[in-house]
Amino acid sequence: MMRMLWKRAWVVGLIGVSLGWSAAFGADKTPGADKVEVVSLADSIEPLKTYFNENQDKLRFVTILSPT
Amino acid sequence: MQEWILKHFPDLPISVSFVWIDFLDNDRFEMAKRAAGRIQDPRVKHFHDARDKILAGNAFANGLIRKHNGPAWDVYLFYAKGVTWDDTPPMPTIWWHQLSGNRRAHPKYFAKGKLPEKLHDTMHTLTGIPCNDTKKSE
Repeated sequence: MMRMLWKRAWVVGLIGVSLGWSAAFGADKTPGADKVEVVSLADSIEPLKTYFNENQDKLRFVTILSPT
Repeated sequence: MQEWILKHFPDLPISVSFVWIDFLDNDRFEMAKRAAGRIQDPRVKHFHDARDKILAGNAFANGLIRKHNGPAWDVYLFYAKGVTWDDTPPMPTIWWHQLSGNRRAHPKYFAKGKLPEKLHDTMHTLTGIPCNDTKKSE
C-alpha cells in the first residue's frame, strides 16, 4: 500500500516539475507571440517617448504591467 | 483590460502602449513576448522594460509613486490629445493604480478592485462616446 502511494506521489511530482519547467523555460505556445513586436527599452526610453509624441493627436493610454 | 479599452471602442483612434516591466521574479523578455501575444490590435504597441535598469518604470514613477517606493507598475494612465512628453513623462490626464492602500501611491487613484469599471468610465469621460452599459458586465 505504502509503495503504491509513493509511486503515485512520484508520478504527480514528476508531472508537476515537468509542467513548471515547461511554463518557465519551454517553447512559447501563445498564439501570436512569435509575430508580435516587443520593443526593448533596455538601453533607452526614447522608443516609448517617440511613440507617445507621434500620437499626440489621439487619446493615449499607457499601462505598465508585470507580464506574469 | 483589452476589453475595456479596445473592444468596446473598436473605431476609436487611440494609441495604446503596453509596457511589460520586469518586476516580479519570473518576469523577463520572453514572458513579455508571451503576454504581448495575447493583446494584438493595430492601435497597440508593446515595450519591454528590462530589470537591470527599469527605465520606463522609474521615469513614470515621478509624480505617481511616492518617493523611494520603487518604479511605477500596475498603473493605468490616460493622456488627452495634445499632451506632450518633453524631458520627463507628463502627468496623466486621468490615471488609476492597483497598489493597495496609500503607501506607494495616492489613494484617490486606487482602483480598489474595480479596475474594469474605472477604465470603462474613464474612456467614456474622455471620449464622450456612449456605449451599451450591459457590456460593463461582460
